[in-house]
Amino acid sequence: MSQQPSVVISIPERFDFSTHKWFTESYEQALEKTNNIVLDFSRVTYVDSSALGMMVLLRRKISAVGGKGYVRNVTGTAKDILEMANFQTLFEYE
Amino acid sequence: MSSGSSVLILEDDISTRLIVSKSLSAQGIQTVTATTISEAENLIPEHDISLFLLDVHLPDGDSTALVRKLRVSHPLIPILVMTGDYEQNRVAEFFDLGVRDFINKPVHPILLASRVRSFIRNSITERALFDANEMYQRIAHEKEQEEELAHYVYDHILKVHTSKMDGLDTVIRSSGKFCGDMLLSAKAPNGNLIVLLADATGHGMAAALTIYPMVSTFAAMVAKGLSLGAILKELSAKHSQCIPQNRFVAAILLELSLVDNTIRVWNGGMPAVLMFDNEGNLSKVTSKHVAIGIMPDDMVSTKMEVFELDQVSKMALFSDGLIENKVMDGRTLAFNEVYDMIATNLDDPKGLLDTMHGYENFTDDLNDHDDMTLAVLDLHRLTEELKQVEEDNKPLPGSFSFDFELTGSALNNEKFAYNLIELLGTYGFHKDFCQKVFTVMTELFVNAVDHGIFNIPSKLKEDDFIAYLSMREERQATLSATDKVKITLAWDQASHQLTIILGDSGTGYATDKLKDLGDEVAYGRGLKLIASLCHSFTYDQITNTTHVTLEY
Repeated sequence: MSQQPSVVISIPERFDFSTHKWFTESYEQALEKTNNIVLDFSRVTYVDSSALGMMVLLRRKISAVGGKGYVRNVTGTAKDILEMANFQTLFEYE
Repeated sequence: MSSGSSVLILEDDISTRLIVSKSLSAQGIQTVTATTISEAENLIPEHDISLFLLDVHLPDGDSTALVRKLRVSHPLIPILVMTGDYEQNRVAEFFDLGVRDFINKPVHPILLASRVRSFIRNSITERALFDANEMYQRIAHEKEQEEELAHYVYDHILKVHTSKMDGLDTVIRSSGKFCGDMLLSAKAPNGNLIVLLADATGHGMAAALTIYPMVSTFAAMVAKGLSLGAILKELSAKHSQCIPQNRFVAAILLELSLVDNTIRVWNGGMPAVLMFDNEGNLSKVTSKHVAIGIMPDDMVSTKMEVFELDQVSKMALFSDGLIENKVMDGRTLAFNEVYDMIATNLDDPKGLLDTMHGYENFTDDLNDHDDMTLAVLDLHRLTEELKQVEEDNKPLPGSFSFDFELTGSALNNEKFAYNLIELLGTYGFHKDFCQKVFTVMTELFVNAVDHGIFNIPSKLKEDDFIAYLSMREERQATLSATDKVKITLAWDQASHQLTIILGDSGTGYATDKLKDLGDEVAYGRGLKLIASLCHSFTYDQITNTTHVTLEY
């Protein structure tokens, strides 16, 4: 199967519980077009465990359609937190 | 001929005066007549005079004095003098005073009218020319002043945004007063070095204006600690806010991080970045993106290329002025040839620029030189320079302690933790410390609300996020005045410790937590985060409060 072009979701400064509605809508829209999703962390400064929960959920949806998830430009504490949770096994770092 | 304007006739001889005024009015030319100089001087200010027709000798004197005055008061209005034969010797004198021509007496009526008409017509043309020239002078002056202002701003921006760094050498050769290229560098709060090379479409002031908005915010964005991708997004947003859609900025963004041992590169519409490894092998980082301004700013790709910092010895960034339109021995050079020439001459950047300028193809247009900018990065020297960054010793704030109590629907404020961290930021704590406190605070608060007050089983969030969300929403609507979370945030300057104490009015929290802590497998994601970010983490079952400390 040829690789579908990926859709980029650009996450805001705060990736926490307050973003869940927006985030869910964004990836559901994206999954209608592709099974490859890039999460752009360029702007992300604050992360909490809800964000990790949402990412796990997204990862399940992507797997269900045989796609792949990528993380772009994650830095600082956000990176530490993703790595602490071993998320490099769920999302490929670009 | 402008309506309302008249020819002034100054003549004391009644018959000449009559002949002259009749012959002019017969041609539709209005006249005003005077018989003495003083009468003329009284009449002149009251009329719009299109031409002066003067006799030489008048009862109250010679008209030369009047001519002198008129040259000052009416510099553009033609003066004709009527002379008899015996006055021919004074012609030169009158010409010197600025008289345009002479009418010989006795006057020939038709000839006179034609000449007067012709002089008036010429003077109107002259006037128009004079006005046009004056306007041109004014516009030229204004333009000069505008350019001066623009140049001042340009210079100022460059000075403010260029930090001298050992290991970063820049040469610029501008095609005019303004350069459409800019090379900026700034150190981020985390010690990384950010470099931006931007090249705006076109030349001169228009090109310079196109990059001002981006450039003027660059330092602020770096100082704020934004990541390279976030800076790119901000630059792009700024550009689309301020600049018309047909103007673009090609750019290279670089970030050198000693901590991560990485070089991140984003190249949008610029020539390839030349990169040399420790053995001197050359590789090129070509443009993978379009210039800023082409894509809507929410579509700009922030995908970077990442290299290992300690594997790179030298890099060169340059604008397209260095490689485009180069001719040697009548043959246009291919980009790859030019790249090779640049790669082998990086030890003398200034000389290289002069050489490349010499190869410029002059035939097209004399002014069509593009701006040239070349930056050479010596990674070994830059690494040393970045190492020397001492901790920026912001004075620490004195000790403080805040108590918060949230009751009922106040617990639904999702921005509480964020705003608390903003408050913390105002005391000058490092950004990464604030990020940690945010995560810890959010986890503690959400735990207290979710499990302590809402009684949501802690495993539900992991097992079925959707079910968790809907249960949470349901419970949020039923909060009462007895539901409460108390938070103390205390900073102790002496021990460099931040303490957070958080208690809730619920009961379920305690047992849940103890079970969690005892069981490695069921260790909640949130609690794991707290434990890893905090220096100490204790729970007091009697008061149902959690105590954590973070070291600064």
